[in-house]
Amino acid sequence: MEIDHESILQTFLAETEENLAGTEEALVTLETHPDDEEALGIIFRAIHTLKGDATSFGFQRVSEFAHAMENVLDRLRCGETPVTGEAVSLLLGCVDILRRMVPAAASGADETPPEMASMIGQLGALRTASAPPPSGGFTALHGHRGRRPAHASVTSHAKTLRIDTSKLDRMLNLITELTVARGRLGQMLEAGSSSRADLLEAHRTADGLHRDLQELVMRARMVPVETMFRSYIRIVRDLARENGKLARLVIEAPGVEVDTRIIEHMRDPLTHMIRNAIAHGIESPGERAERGKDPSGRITLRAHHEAASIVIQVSDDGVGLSRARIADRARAMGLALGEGKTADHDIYRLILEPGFSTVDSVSTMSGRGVGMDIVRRNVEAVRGSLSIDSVEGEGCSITIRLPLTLAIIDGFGVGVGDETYVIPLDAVIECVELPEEERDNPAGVGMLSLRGQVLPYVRLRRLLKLGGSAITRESVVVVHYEGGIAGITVDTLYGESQTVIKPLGRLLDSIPGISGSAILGNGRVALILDVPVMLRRGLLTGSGLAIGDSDGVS
Amino acid sequence: MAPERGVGNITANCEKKKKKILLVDDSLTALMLHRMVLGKTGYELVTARDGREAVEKALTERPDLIVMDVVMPQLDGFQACRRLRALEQTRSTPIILVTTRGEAESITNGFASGCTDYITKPVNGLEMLSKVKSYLGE
Repeated sequence: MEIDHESILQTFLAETEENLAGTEEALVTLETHPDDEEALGIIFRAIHTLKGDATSFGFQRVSEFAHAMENVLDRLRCGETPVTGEAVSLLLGCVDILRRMVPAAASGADETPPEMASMIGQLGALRTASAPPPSGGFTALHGHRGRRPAHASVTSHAKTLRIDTSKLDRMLNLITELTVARGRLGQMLEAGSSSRADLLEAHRTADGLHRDLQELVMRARMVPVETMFRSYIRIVRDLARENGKLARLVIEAPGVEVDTRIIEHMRDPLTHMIRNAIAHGIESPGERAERGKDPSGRITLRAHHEAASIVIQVSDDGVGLSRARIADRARAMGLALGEGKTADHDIYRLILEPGFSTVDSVSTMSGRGVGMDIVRRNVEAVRGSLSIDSVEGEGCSITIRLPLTLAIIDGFGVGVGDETYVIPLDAVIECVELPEEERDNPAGVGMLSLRGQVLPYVRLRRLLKLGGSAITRESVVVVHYEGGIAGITVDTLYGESQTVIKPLGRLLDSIPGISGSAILGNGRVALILDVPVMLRRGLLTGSGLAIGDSDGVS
Repeated sequence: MAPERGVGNITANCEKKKKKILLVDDSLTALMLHRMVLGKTGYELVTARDGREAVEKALTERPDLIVMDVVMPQLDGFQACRRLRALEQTRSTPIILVTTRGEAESITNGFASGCTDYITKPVNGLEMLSKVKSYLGE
C-alpha cells in the first residue's frame, strides 16, 4: 500500500469531521451534565489531536485556534473555569469555525477567519471569569446565534468510504473461490460428459458464491445510522434554543446500518422533520408544564430493519397534528375529502401534498406541512414511503420506510401483454386472483374486499395506457401503500428475481410512477414501478400515466 | 486496527528478520504520517490506537521499538510507558514519546515514566528516522 500525502490529507479530513462531531456531541452532554469528566476528556483529546495533526500538515492558523481552545479546555478540566452554558456555546461556535477552517486549509487556504480574533478574545475572557453565571442548564445562551452552514463539510467528502481491510480480504477470498467454481463449470461443459444434475449443482455452487460476494460488496457500503443520527444532537439543541423551547434527542438505532447513498438522501428530510417537530410540535416549557408534561420535549430518532427495508422514525411528544385544522385547510385549498369519516392517517397524509402549508399559514395552524411535500419527494426518490401517526396533545410520529440498498433490489416480475414490469419485492405482500365480477370493470381503478379488508386497486394495463385486454384471468399483487394496502392488477406473475437497477435516461425521467429500468435475464428491458407514486396517481385521479405529464411539482 | 495489520503481514514473511516497530497514536492521520516516514525503510510496522492497546500489542507483538503519542484515551502515553516499564517483557524496549511542542513539563513527565527519548510534533522525518535507527543499533 503506497501512502501518499493526498491520501493522508483525506484521512485527516474524515478524521477531523469525526472528531468535531464527537466534540459537538460531548459538548451538548456537558451542557446538561457539567460534571461529566469523560465528555470533557473526549473534547480535550479531540481538539488536542486536531492541533497536533494540523501542525504536522503545517496548518498554522488551525493549529493556533485549536491551541486557544485547548487552553480553555485545560482550565475547564482542572476546574479553574466553571463549565457554563456560555462556555459550551462558545466552544460550539469554535467547532463551527473549525469545520470551515480545516477543509479550507486542506485546499490551500490556511487563513484566519474574521471571527477568529473575537472568538479567541471571548475564550480568553472565559478563562478569567471566576463567578459562575446564575444557573447551569437553562440560561439564555448567546454567542453563536447565526445559523451555521448546514454540515457542508460532511457532504463534501462523503464520496470516500473507509472500509475495513478484513472485509476486502473476505471479498478476495470469495473471488478466488468463485474463479475456481467457474473454472470447474467451464471444464464440465467442455468435457460434455457430466450429467445435467452435476452441471446444475456446479452452477448452484458458483451462484451461491456470487450472491455472497454481492452481499459483501453491498454491505461494504453500509454505515451505521447512529453516526448520522448523532449529528442531530447538536441541531436539536440549536433549534430548540432558537424557538425558545427545550428539547433533547433520544436515539434508538442499535447496530442498524444503511447504504451511504441513502444516508445522504435522508439528511435534509430528517433535518426538515426535526425542525418541524421543534417549531410546531414541541410546546413551550410553560405550556408543557401546564399540561403535566416534562418541560423539556423529547424527539426520538429510531431505526430498525424490517424485511428488506430500513424503517426510520421521527417522533416527538408535542401537541400532535390537529385533524380539524388540517381538514379546514384542505377544504380551503379545494382538496377533496371523502364523504363522512375519513381515516385519521388519510387526513394526516394531506400535509404531504405539495403546497399544503405555506409559510404564512404556519402561524395560524398547528399543522406542520412546511416543506413536507419536499420530504416526501426526497423519500420517494430513493424508493421509500412515508406514513404519519399522531395523537392530539401527545405527539406525532413520522415513519419512513426505505430500501436497504439502492443498486440491487429483490424485484417481483409481472407481465402485462408482452411487457414485463418489476415491482420492488419489499412492497409486495401477496398475490390473489382478480375475482370474476371485477374482470369486466371498465374503469382503471376499483375496489375489492380481501378477507374483509378494503383493497383499492389499479389496473396496470389501463394506467400505462397499454390498450388491449387480458387473455387470461388477471392477478392482483397486494402491496403496502401509505400505511395500508392496495392492489396492482396485472396479466401474469413471473415471480421473484434479483434486479440491478439502472437509472432511466433523461427522456423517460419525467414519467411519474416509473423509478428505473432493469435488464432481465433474457436481455430485455423492464421498467421498475415506483409503487407509491404510481398508486397515488392512479387511485386519486384514476387517470393514466403519460410522458411529459409532470407530477404537479416542478 | 485491521488495515494496519494487513500491511504488516505482507512484509512479515521476507527473508531476514526485520526490526519491528510499534506505532501508537489515537490519530489515524498521525499513524499514516509515521508510516510514510518509516514505511520505506523496511521496518515491520504494527499499530495501536490507545495506551491500553499499546501495552497489549507490546506483549503479543514484541516490538524492537515503540513510538508513542502522549494524549490518548484509555491509558495516556505516560501511563502506558509506566506500565510497559513494569513488565518484564518490555522493561528495556526503547520507547520514543511524541509530544506537542512547548510541553516542557510533558518531557519531564515522560522521562519520569521511563521513556527513552522524545520527539516533538510536527515530527521531522529525518529526526525521527535517525532516532529510531540509533535505538535499534543501526
